[in-house]
Amino acid sequence: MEGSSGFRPIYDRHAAMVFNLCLNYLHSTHDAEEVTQDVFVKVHERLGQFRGEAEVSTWIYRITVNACLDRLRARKRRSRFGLHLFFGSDIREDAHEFPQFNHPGVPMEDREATERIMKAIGTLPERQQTALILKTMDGLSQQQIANVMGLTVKAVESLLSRARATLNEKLRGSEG
Amino acid sequence: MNEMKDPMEYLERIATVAPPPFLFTRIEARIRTQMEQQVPIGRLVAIFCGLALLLAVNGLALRSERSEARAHASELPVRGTALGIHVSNQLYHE
Repeated sequence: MEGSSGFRPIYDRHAAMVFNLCLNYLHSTHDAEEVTQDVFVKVHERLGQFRGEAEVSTWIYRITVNACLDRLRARKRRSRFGLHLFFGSDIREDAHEFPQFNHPGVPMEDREATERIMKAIGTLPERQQTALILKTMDGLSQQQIANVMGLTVKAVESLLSRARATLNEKLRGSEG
Repeated sequence: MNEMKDPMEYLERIATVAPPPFLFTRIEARIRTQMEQQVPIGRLVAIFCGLALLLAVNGLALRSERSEARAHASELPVRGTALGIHVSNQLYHE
């Protein structure tokens, strides 16, 4: 395979990061594996075009975030289209976004609470969702998140505070 | 669930998961299939040039045929009158 000598070390260094980020977005091992494959196929395709303006990891993070958001959009479209055919338009948009919660990194005792939190995160606007996932689950700094999302650090700060506020509100709403 | 801790605490406790085994092999297989399905640029250029040439030859042939027919039509009345033949395709003259 052409260029595989440079590709293997990139895969070895970033596979876990890509797979876990996909899991945090998609909450399904099967989907995360599929999207991880898509990401590395894209990385292989575009490796020659990578100009080195950003770090390789930032570039791969960006590809992964976009691939996950695409998969989530496709899921929403599919479920909306499919259910509209049978039940009309009176369906809750977020009710079937995550058909089966399957995140092997979640401790057993936290499973119920974490599932609720992650489902609530899934209903946030895309940019808030991305900032929150990168910060809390992937442990990126605000500067790194800014690089991945192409924003300023200030914008990331405000996204994070809005995301946390909306998330708390949603969780409080679902408790009561 | 009512006395839920800070949601961020739960999220921070999520452990890192190792990617599934043989994932790289599957990725390699997909890349290989994709490369096999790609048509080489040289072949695409050759096909495009062939089609363009065919169109150009067709166009030229049509144009020369049309001008030949036009020239032939303009000569017809002259030859007709020289031979004393009606070149009009009308059957009855008023």
